[in-house]
Amino acid sequence: MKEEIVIALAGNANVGKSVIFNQLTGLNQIIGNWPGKTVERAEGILKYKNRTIKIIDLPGIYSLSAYSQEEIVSREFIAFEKPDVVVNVVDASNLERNLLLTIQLLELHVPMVLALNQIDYANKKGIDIDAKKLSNLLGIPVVKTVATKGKGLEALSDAIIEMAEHVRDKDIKSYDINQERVLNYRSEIKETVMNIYKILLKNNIDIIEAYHPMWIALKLIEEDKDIIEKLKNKKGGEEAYKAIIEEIGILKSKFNDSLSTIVTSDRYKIASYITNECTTVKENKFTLNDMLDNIALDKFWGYITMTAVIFLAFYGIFNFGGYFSEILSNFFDGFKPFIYNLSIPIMYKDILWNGLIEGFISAVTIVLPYILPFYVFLAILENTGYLARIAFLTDKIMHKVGLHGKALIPILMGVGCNVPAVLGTKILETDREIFIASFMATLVPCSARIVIILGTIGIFMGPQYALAVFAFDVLVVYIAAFFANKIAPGKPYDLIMELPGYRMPALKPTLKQIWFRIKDFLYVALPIIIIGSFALEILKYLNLFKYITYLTNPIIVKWLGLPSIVGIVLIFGVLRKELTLIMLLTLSGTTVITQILNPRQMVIFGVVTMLYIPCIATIAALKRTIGWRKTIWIVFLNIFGAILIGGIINQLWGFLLK
Amino acid sequence: MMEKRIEYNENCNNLIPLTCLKKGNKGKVIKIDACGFAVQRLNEMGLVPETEVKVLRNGILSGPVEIKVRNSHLVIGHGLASKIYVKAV
Repeated sequence: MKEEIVIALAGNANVGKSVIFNQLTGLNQIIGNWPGKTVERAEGILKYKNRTIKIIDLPGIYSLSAYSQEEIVSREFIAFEKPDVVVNVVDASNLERNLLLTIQLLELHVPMVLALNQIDYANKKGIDIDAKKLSNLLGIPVVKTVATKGKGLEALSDAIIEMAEHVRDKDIKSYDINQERVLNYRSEIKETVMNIYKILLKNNIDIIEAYHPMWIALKLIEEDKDIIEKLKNKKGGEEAYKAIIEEIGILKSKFNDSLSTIVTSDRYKIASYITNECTTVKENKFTLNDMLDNIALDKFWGYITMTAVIFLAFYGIFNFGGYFSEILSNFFDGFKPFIYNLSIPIMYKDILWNGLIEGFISAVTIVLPYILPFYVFLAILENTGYLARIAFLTDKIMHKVGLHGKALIPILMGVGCNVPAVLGTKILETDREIFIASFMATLVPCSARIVIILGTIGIFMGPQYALAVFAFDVLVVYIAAFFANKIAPGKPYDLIMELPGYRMPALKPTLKQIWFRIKDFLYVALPIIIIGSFALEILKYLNLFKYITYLTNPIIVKWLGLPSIVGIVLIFGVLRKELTLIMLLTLSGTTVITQILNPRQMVIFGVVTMLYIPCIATIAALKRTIGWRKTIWIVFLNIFGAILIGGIINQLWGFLLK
Repeated sequence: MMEKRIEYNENCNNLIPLTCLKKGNKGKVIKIDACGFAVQRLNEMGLVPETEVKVLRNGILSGPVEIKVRNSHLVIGHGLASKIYVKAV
């Protein structure tokens, strides 16, 4: 009996894989990143029948090609970490498409169990699947599950344990593709696979220790860059590859299509055959789903619905956020006397309170009130399937800046708070899109910046000027994204998205998902925020601001035409944007902003504050989402952009209003 | 980026881009004239040669196209959809 069983969950997006993971592992989870990748890695423990089962939730993928990091991470995990069992979660209501991945996993020849999930949903669509027949056709155990309701999970766990105990003899030395029952490709491919297999075996390439030689042969036929590279780096690989190329050349000459298209066609032929054999479709009635889509995706009503949903949700989030943020701030401020009543020098009190506790408070008062409701909203949007509808409706306009429709939601969220906006960009597919979207999100005025603009320009110059500044910012965001799209490495791709059916999100798994995301953020953000506030407080006590203004004056005074003191308050704004205005008034010893800034300076101050740098909590969110290197890029671009635009306004103002 | 063109022996005169199919019409995928990555992705989502697709919706102002393929609903950006050539059925 094995002490610990390691299993990997593999499956498409939107099949309920994460729900199964959450249901099995409960709260024993570790969420991090795959080494050297920005792909999220979730790991958990299940104690079942005196066994310890370690579960790794692989990213949601449609295939095992090498086109995305998620796919590479998944297949390398299966090949090199060799989990005892791979659990393939498939959507019963969309079997044929899901079987494509199943077939590719079978090609790896690893022990597998199939979880036929969302059976209830399939039944609703009039689809009935014979699980026994499917199990026979695939040659692996099949368990029917409804993960959201916890149904079938015990049977699944039993099947996993049984599969892990199963002794397998993997004699790759005498493999013959003609013995395969399921993997029935056209004869030309089979022949080439066997020829490549023989070459690999003859040259004794040790890559076959990790991946099954049959899978390697297929990948080489598909011209998979990653496997070709891995092969060439092995001893004798270069030589073997030459012989293999010849084999592939012969195969290529037999078809008009690319070989990867041919292989995928064959896989679909198998998937199609299996699906037809084991499913019965009762009637193809006009479902509630179609009815909802006739409204949600309509050329007119679709946009009305979307605007209403977003408006109501954001209105709710900001109100809830603002309300709770204040309650929490007041609550924490209540502790201030405790610190200041301590009998230690005032300097220590300040450092303790402003440097350490204030940092913690700002994290909590931002995180709890804004991130929590936003995550709830995002989870509902995502899990009901409505997010995909928004992506459909807004794809055209986002496409212009190299993004897809999905990006709209996190970017809009920036209006409340940039932190959840940046974290929310994780719903996008590629690193490139996540970079552009987070960059856009950092330039959207959050509630703190809106307060600054309204509190200066809005009050003393008139609301129309404040509105003009916001309109200008929208333009800046769009132009910035346009340039980011130009400079970001890689190229934008057109939208290819599955439109999932509408679902009722399951409460418990959704709450767990939200909790883990928040916890995960706090771990990264708290230290960064606290260290940042601490450093600033030290700076203040060492009285280094004098020297700082020497450095900032050329830009602040000469180029931007602002009072020298702004150089200092902008530094504090890194902690929280509100501090720029508060510090400006405090340090100047007045409460009337017009005594410090004239209208021209007010506009420049407003624009610069809006753009100049993400606050420290946002920087922490950026680090979590895109890593330090790209974060520094965004910070640099923000600072540079703010100085450039502020300066241009300053020069133009003087020129136009002379 | 290398363009991977897929050539067919068939008479190409009756091939039309997917974007030209009207709502509710069906077509058979014949060729995809896009870069390797996009072709692979579309293949994987079920759009391999000879697959029948049905147009469910066309987005406003050259927005994306929604199709039904192998019983699943797929949304494809307009630019890419116009590179998918089908034979109307």
